[in-house]
Parts: sequence; structure tokens; C-alpha cells
Amino acid sequence: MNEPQVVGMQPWLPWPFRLWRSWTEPAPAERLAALRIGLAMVLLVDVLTSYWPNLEFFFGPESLTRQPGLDPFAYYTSPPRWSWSLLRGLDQPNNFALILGLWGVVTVWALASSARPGMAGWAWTIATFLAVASFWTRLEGGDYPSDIAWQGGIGLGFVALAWCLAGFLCLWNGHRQHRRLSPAFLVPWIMTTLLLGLGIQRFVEEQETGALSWRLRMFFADWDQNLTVLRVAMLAWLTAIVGLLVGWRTRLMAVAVWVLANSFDNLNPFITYKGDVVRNILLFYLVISPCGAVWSVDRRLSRRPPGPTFIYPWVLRLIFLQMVFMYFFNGLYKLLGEHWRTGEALYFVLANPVRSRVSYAQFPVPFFVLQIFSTTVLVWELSFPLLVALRWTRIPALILGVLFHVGIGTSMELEFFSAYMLTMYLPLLPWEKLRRLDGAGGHSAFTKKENQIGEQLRL
Amino acid sequence: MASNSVPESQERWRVSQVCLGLFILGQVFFLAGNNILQFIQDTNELQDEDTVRLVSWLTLDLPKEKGPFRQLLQNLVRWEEATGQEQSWCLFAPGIDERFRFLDVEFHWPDGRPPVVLPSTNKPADLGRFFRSGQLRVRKYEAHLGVNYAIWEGETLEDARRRWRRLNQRLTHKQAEYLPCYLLSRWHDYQTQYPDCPTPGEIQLHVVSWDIPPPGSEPWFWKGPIHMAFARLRLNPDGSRNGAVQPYNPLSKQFDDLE
Repeated sequence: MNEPQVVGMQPWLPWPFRLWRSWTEPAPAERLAALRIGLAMVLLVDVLTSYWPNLEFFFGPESLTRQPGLDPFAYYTSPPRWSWSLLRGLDQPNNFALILGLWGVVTVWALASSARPGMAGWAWTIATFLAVASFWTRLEGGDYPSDIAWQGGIGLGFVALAWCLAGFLCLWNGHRQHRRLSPAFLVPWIMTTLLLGLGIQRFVEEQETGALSWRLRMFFADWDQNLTVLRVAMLAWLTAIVGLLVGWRTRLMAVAVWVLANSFDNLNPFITYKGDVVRNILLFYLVISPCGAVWSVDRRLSRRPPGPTFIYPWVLRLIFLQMVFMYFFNGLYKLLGEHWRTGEALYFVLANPVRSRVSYAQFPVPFFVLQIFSTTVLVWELSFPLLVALRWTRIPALILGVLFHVGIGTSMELEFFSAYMLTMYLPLLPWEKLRRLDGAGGHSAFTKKENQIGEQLRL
Repeated sequence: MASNSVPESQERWRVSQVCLGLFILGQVFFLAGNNILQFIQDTNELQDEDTVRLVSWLTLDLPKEKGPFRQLLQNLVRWEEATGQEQSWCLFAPGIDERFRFLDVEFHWPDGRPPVVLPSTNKPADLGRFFRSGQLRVRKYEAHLGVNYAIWEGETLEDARRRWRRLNQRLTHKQAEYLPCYLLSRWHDYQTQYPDCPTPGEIQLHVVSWDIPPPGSEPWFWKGPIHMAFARLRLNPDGSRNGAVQPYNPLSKQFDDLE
């Protein structure tokens, strides 16, 4: 019999979480993979049908987002907000903060990493390049009016710091591998050396001419104003979605899809809707979880022996918790509305031709039926936490949820909202039963063993 | 990707495992804290004073303008923004509109040629018979433009026009940045289809407002419409903007400057 395996990191959990089996016992990896595949499929259709055909109308220099001299949504990715869009360019304050934060995290990872220094080396190279480019581009903006020597000195100082750090990483990692220098960190050291050389040359030129030279803004700022860049970003997004769908370099693809989804959505908050929000939340969870453990190219290419695969369940529980909060608070807000309390709500929704899929005059649903539906939705949403907490009401509550989303998706034009919501239900289905198809087996033996672990943890 | 066989109970936890656990706890706290505090804050903005008092009493008057809970909510919102996990789950709630509107864009030329009217891509040709699919994103944008016009019970048409004038002034001011983006985008879209068409002198936004009848009305059909201009944007011959958007004045039937 093939040995069951658990993929991913087991989290330390404090009381009372460590006592709950649902938070500690490994869950079948197929459930997370189903979410990944379902979400990627919906997103692929979403991008191909709603973003791609309207790219120039939604984004670009003469679009709903920006026009010459008008930038009404710049506030959305500027302080004090922490929203960001890489497409705004490296000089934007939020992107600058994000990139420096990323650089800091990758630096700590590179210092601590001994298992896979090659990956850490490449990540540090990219993060450092972005940090230096962002730093230099930002210094060109009007946010730091000061004399040229001070301005150039700060930029040069930062790249000098990066160069010193690269040298230290090269020696430190080499020392840990009992070598003089680490081959994994030679590339970053060479890259920072080149950047330092460029920085010195630039600094000297600026002191001689008394003006900023080698302006970088044209390369690193306002990417959303360039249709070619937007098209390339959209193609990269599509490629990453396909990568996520088939599970090829899954973690990297999940990061790329999440970054690009946020980057496009945050350019113009007026064209996003709750379906996009649900999608971005789910993508965030895919980024931080081993969603390519099974049903993926990565799994096929990995050297792990065949056998049933499990993951630690925290990500599935967090998604479920998100779902509970979503429904419950929707119910609470509805309770505050008079139309919901009188049962008229769905009538006014379906009789509104801006929202409905077909004309109410053409298909007049009897008012009492809509009253029953309105009240059912209100009661179901408000009692959702209780219904899913009780074993015997859980499945009926979830079936009602699926019917609700199919119903509103059919009767109202909500584009992909219902489809994204239904992907949240995918991890609740027993996809592991499909294991028989690839002959993995071994589930019952694992269950017995994992129960033992659960018992130990409870003690 | 780390892979192990069946996990045994651990005596020593690695730093990364503790960090992951703390992250999970933080996420649970974020979901609960953000939704609860946001809900309490939103109830303060309701018009129903009894509900506001009730929620305020139930929550020990937590959501003050300043204070630790307000600060906590702000911090949670920052995390929400940075990670793209927007909460605020209030779909079709608390209130639901009893009115709706469609937008028409009109191109006017100074040489006296007849204006071109471009209805919204969301506007059905026949309100009584349609099937809609797609265009939700454009509809979301249009929901931020214009206003629903209605005549209140007991209000004369003259009083309504005076109120609409103030409304147009206030909302055009609010929409002054993104309304031109919409108008110019519609023009660029039209220009792509008709490249020989000269630049119009002005682009007007018109609103067509309807009321949804109370349930059970006989015969059943929407009440209205009230069709009125909302604002205009003047253009130079080279296509650049000629000044700011101007709100429509229903009393003088002219476009005024923003006050």
C-alpha cells in the first residue's frame, strides 16, 4: 500500500485551535486542488470575455480610468490607502513601499535559506533590481525636492547597501555550504556590482552637470499609460492563469495571477464588483497554500512516491470562515433594510431592468413567491453560521447556498459573481473519492493514523 | 514544496511554523474584527435613529470617531487593502432602490448638424422585452454617474426643478473627475467606428429615470420616464477638454458653471 503523505508546513496553533480536529487533522489535497482548478477556469473565461475585449476602453491613456490631465482613481493606490497596482509604475509610493517590504522579506529569507539557495538567489536578484529601480525612479519625482548631491547620494547609498548585502550573502551562504563563495549568490553580487557602477557613473555626471541624468521615469513609471505594456501584462495574466489551471510551477503562477488581478482591479475601482473581490480573496489563499500538491503538472514532475496526498487544513478552514462571515454579515445588513423585513426586496431587485437578466414585464413572478424567497434568503444568511455548525443542517444549508447562487446567477446579470461564489463550495465536496481513478488508494489506513495524531494533540 | 509522511506530534516548533500559526490567528482576527467593527460603524450612518441607538447600546458605543476601536478598524482595513481581501459584505442591503436610470450620451456639433445620441450599452431597446448578458463592469461605472430624478409626493414640478438644479450642481461637482473620463471614452469609442466624424463641440450626459411600481400594481409597468440632461463637457476642435464639466440647470434649461 502506498504511504500517505502530507504536503506543506504544519502550523503551530495555540489553544483552542489545537484541540479542534477540523483545524489539526490533515485534509485531502484534492479539495484545495479543486478550488484552484475551478477558480482558474472561471477567471480564464472572465479575462477572455470581459477584460481582454475591453482593454482599451477600461484602461489606458484614453479610457474610463484615465484621460489626458485626468486621473480620478490615483487616490485608490496612494497613501493613506494601502491598495496597490504594479501597473501604476515603480515610482508610486505604495508600490515603492511594497517593493521595499518585499526586498526586506526576501533578504531575510536569503539570509536564513540553506535548503534551496538557488531559488533564494534569484528571488533576491529580482527583488533587489526592483528595489533599486523603484528607489531611483522615485527620487526623480517631485516628492523629494532637495539639492542634486543629496538626491543622487541617497540613490547611490541605497545601491551601495544592496552591493554590500549581496557580498555578505555570497560569503555567508558559501560559509554555510563549506565553500569560499556561494554560487547561488554570485549572480546577485554581479548584478549589484553593475548597478553600483552605474550609480557611481550617474552620480558623477549629475555632480558635473548639476541636473538629474539618465531619467528612469520613462521606463518605470505610468505603465498603465502604455497600451503595449497593458497588452503584455494581460497576456502574462492569461499565461499565468493557464499555468495555475494545469498546476505548472503552481506557487509562482498563483503569485503572478494574484498580483496581476490586483494590479488591474485597483487601477479602476468603479469597474470592479464583488465577484472580483471573492476571486482576489481566493487567489490570496492559493498563494499561501500548497494548491499544486495534486492534480498538477508539478505533482507529475515531482519525485514524491505515489500515494494519497494530504494538506494541513488551515487554508480550507480560513476559506470556510470567510464564507461564514460573508453570508452572516450580508444577512445582518439586510436585516437593517425595510424591504428585506417586509419581503419586498427581491421584487425590487428583479423588477429593476438595470440588474435583471430578463424583463419583469415579460416574466412577472408572483409577488408572494418573491416574498417567500426574500424571507428565505434573509433567514438563511442570518442563520448560516448556526446551520453549518450543526451536522444535520450543514448539507441542506450548503445545498440551499448553491441553489441561491444558481438562482441569482440566472435571474440577474451579475457576470461571474455566482461562478466565483460557487468555487468556494468546491473544497466542501469529497474530491478524494476520485483517487480510485488513478489507483492511489490507502485512504482508510491514513485516516486511522491521522486519528491517532488528533488524539495526541488533544492530550 | 515541503512533503513529509504522516506528521507526528512535535515537541519543538520551528520559527516558520510559529509564524504560520500566528498568521492564521491574525487572519481569523482580521475576518472577525473587520466585519464586526465595519458593521457597527456603518449602522451609525443609517437614517433610522432607533436602529442606530439600539446598535450603539448593544455595542457599548464602541465606534467613536476616534479611539482604539476606530484605530483598530483602520489598521484592519489597511491589511484588507494590501492583501486585496475587501470585506464589507452588504450586497443589495440595507436599502434597495425603487428607481433606476439609464444614461444617454449626446454629441452636439456647433455647425448645426443633428446631435448623435448614444444610449448606454446596458439600456434595452424595449424595457418590456429583453435578455441581458455581460457589460456588468460598464454598468458598475455608470452607477456612479448622473442621478435618479423623481418628483416627490406633494411636490410641484417647479419645486422639483429647483431641487434638481441643486442636485445637479452638487453631484456634477462630485463627479467632475470621472464623468469626463466616461464621456470622452464614449466619444473615442464612437470615433473608432466613424473615424471621419469631426470632433463635437460638446458631449452631454442625459439621464432617463424610471420608478418601479409598488408590487401588485395593475396594469403593471414602470412609471416614467423623466428624461433630462445632467451635465455637459465642452471640447476644443483638437479633442481636448474646454473647461470643466457643467451641470444642467432645469430652471433656465441651460448649462451652468460649477458653483
